[in-house]
Amino acid sequence: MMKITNIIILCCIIFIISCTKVLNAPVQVKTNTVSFFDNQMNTISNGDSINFTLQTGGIYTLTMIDTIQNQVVSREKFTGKTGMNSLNIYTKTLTQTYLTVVLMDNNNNQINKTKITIK
Amino acid sequence: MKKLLTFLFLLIFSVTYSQGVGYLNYTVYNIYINGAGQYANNANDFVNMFDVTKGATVYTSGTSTAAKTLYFANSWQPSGVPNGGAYTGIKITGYFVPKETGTYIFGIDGDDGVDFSLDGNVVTSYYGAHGFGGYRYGSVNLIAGKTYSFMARYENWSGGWGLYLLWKRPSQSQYSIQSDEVYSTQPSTPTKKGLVDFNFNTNVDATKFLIGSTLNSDGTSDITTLLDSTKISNGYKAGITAGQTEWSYVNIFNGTTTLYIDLRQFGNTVPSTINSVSILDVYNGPVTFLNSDLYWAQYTVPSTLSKVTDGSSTYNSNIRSVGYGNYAFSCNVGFTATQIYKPQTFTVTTTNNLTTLYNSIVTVSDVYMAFQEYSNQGLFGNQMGTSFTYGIQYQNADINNDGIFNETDCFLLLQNLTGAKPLVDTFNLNKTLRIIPQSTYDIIGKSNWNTFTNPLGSSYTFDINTGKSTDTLNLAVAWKGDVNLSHSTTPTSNGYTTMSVKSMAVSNEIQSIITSELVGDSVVVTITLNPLSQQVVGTQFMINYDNTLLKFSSATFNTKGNPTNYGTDKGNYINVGSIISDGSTTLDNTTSYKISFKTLTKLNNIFGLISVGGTDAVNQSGTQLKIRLI
Repeated sequence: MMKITNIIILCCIIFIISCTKVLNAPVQVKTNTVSFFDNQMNTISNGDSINFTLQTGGIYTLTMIDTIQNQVVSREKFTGKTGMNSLNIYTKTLTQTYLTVVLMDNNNNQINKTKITIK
Repeated sequence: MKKLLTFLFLLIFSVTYSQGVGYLNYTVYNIYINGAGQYANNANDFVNMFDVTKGATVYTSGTSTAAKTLYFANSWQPSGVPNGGAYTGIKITGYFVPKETGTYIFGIDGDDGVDFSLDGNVVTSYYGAHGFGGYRYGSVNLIAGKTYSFMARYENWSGGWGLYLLWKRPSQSQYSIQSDEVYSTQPSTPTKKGLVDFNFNTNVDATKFLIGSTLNSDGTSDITTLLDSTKISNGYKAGITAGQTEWSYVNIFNGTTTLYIDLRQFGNTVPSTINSVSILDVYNGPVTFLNSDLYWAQYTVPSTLSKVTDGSSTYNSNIRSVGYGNYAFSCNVGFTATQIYKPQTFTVTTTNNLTTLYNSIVTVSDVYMAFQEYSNQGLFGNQMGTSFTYGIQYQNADINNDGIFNETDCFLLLQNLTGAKPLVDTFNLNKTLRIIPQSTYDIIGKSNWNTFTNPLGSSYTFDINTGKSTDTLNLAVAWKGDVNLSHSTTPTSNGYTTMSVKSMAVSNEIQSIITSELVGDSVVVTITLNPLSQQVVGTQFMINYDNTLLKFSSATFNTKGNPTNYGTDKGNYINVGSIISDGSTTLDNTTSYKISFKTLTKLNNIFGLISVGGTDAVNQSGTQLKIRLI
């Protein structure tokens, strides 16, 4: 009788173990967890996310500048929130490879800037 | 005997004539007893079918035109066929020398099995037992000027029979037999060398253009391998050598020399076919036929024949002065056929997207300059404007190619700018490009520009019978609609110009600000203008957008006066701006443009979805301005 009980318990243990979820390696999310502006140079693909921290919420602009031509290529006005912000960069329309991204507040004060290379 | 000589002459002539470019060799086989099956189901079956050691017999062979050997059905014009076409195979061989570099596509059809090979590799085939069933296509990358062995094979067991083989070059859209690419004998490389030197404008990247192979960055390319060494008949040369009878004389008067040759010396040679002459030791070169009277054929000699008049010729004893500038030659006269290289042609292709390139070739400053020039031509258009400097500007501005630059052309340019109607129905080199010898380009004047026939086209024909070992083609490039010559060759300064081209000195800057913002499910792009101290009469912004995420909605304008405002969706960019074609008012710093898009998916932000692809502006005096986006 005892032997049968042991066998049942063993089977249950095996069953429980076999039902345990196998943890796969986490899917790599293409997100810069380090603040975007902390890097001196970022390599960017279309749709990549960038993260940066703002001290105060409000209206900000992100501007892409062709550093060779010293020309603004693209500018977005957005509402930032206090703390960590996450935005996407789209690159399909860009013909340049090397650009500077500048973050400014609503009074045109430069908050931060970094260089990007379009992949 | 006479008949025999005539036969031999015709035989030699026909053999000589039927060699070379445009011809192919053929062998007709009787394959009735071949031990290789009835149908060619693969390339190796063909090898066996045509193997005389396995029972095939050669019925006949020869050389004929590409048209006759590569396209036939139930009839074989070059010769007869055995068995009325049944149990017959034909192998057509020769050489293929592509005119272009790139992907060639060959199409083959047949009844029954057919295949086609270059350098022993089957490019396309239609094996097995069948009637004509539609073309089977195959592509192959070829290099212009390189010689490839050529072989087409066909076989038929019974019933209908034939072979169709067509192809198209990389630049072509239609299939055809292109006789200038096939040879019955291996073509020899010309002893001459050919170079091209395109004087592209600095705004044009030469490496995006090809003549067979890609041009060097300085616009040069060695085209020696593209030269066609085929020679063609070019009339006769008369040889006047020392003799006993005065069959010829010259008249030298007032710097003009006329040569006379007794008509009795010509035999079957037609006097008008003489295009060069050697006279004793006094002249050897071209002549121009004038006319023939009852006794003499007359030619103009482009020389004063100083050895005749000063007595320095070693054949002085054969030269007799007979007064009034006439000198008679005691001579014999003979004639030899002359041959020259056939006219050469190359075709330019490009890797540019011409529709895109044209966004920068023809802009608002071209349109305004055209209007300025036209408005300065006086009430009846009989005065010359002051905005154009070179004759080629008129040719570029003559959009409808009628030899007149007028209001119609200005409005065609305006329609192109505003998106109402493009300059050409299809933007390709044939419809937009002019290739002009630089020496001609430099003398196209403002008053005589329409006397120069510089047709649009990507092909250029030239002559290599120059007597030089290397012919260098120094070529200018002009673009239709490029009024300010921003992308056309700048002409070398000449007596026909009075001032510099205004667009060349781009030093004036104005400013503009672009901002885009996501508002709900819309994206609003705002462009503002700051003309600074400029009297701006034209602006153009090419605003790129990601058409996978955005859809154009509208463009609105805030402009003073009465400009023509335009905002046209070009699929992946918006062409937006204003033009005041008469320059009566200007665009001030209240000028702004608002472009709206709808988002096609939920977006959190739009950074980079909108960008500036290009800009242009022009001031009241026609000077092109640089817009600095700040």
